[in-house]
Amino acid sequence: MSVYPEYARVRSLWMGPGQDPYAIEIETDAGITGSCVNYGGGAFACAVIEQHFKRFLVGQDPFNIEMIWDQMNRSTLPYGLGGVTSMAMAGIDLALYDLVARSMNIPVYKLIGGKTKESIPCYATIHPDNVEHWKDRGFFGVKIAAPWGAESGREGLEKMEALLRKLRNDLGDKMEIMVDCYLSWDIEFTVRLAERVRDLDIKWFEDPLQNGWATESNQLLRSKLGGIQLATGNLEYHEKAFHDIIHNHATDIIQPEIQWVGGLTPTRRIAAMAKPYNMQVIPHGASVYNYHFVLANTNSAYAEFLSTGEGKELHPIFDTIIGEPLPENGHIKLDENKPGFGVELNYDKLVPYHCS
Amino acid sequence: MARTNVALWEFHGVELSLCLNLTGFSPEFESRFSDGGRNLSIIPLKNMKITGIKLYTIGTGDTGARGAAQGESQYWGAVGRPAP
Repeated sequence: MSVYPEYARVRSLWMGPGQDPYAIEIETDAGITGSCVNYGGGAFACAVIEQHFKRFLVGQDPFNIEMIWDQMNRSTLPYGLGGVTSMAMAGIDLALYDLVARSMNIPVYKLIGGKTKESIPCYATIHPDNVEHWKDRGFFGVKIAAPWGAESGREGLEKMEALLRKLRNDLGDKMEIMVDCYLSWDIEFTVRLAERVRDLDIKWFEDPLQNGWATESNQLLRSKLGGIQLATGNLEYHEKAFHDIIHNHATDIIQPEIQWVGGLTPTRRIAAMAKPYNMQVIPHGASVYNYHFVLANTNSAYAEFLSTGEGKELHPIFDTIIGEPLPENGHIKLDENKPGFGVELNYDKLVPYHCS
Repeated sequence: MARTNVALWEFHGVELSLCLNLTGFSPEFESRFSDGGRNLSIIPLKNMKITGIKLYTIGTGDTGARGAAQGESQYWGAVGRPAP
């Protein structure tokens, strides 16, 4: 939507109810529950769960996560294949992992492989005006959103170059810079900007091309970026799409969005695809669900932390969960004594969903 | 099938319970911590079934307000705030 000036500045001007959060709680006859807050899907996802997926859950053993996921996937092929349906599947999948881990009194990361590192180094996604607040906090880098893209033409190139030069100057040489292009660049804009900022040591351009561009276009773009890496994948939904990207070396960093792509079940499959290519799997966005995956996955060296609130202080990403871990000195540590994902629903911020 | 908690212990601050089938004295549910007083081990509950689902939406504001409340303003710039 960034190609439309009236919507480019603030995402919430165009975001719809399918991008609202929702929460799910799965109950069992053993008195153990699992829960998840998903920042996508909203009431639409609730309707899919209530009217369709519920039949695959009630009476089922919650340990049968693979089968439940497969039944949800197969049963929605005529109308699903991504978006709200996938976000509904993700909420269920993550709540099941939470439930199963709680039933064993272990954290989820121990259920899916255990620790691969003691803590998770994070980069912070920030507004460029707030660089001074994130510079000396232990984060290894910052990511900003690109305010200008292909629709801005040469003026946009000049403004992006000026913004990145100022950012590098403000940040110094010790921290990485990443740019989220918001699917609003094209090959020409991306390549010409890469040439202009070659001396700034940018780590990656994220999603310069809208998903739906040919894999070969991303391959071509990647070959023309010099030392700047390409990162993509957060708006892909199907394992086949990830296989296509990974197998064809069409990205350097693959970024499944755990809460959108369908949960940990497909994300772990994507990570397995990426492993033989030694490709980093850095989940898009920031959440406790990402942290558990990254801690347990060898080819996920770090994670994103999203600055919220005023954007100047560490602030939980969700006010709908209690106990969300925050970075200390730019690193996330997970408490091995907290079962499941280690967080609880904040009922004061939630409204029961009633199917109408 | 009727069952009841027949024992409840504290082990290093962790609550342990053992549920027995009253008709046969065979475990219907395994203990979450089957230690037998010796080795603390983790055995998943058997025969656990999903009984229900609760769904929630977020209580306040419209989509835009929620987006802004969750940090939108800091990523792109607040409404009315000039782009960098």
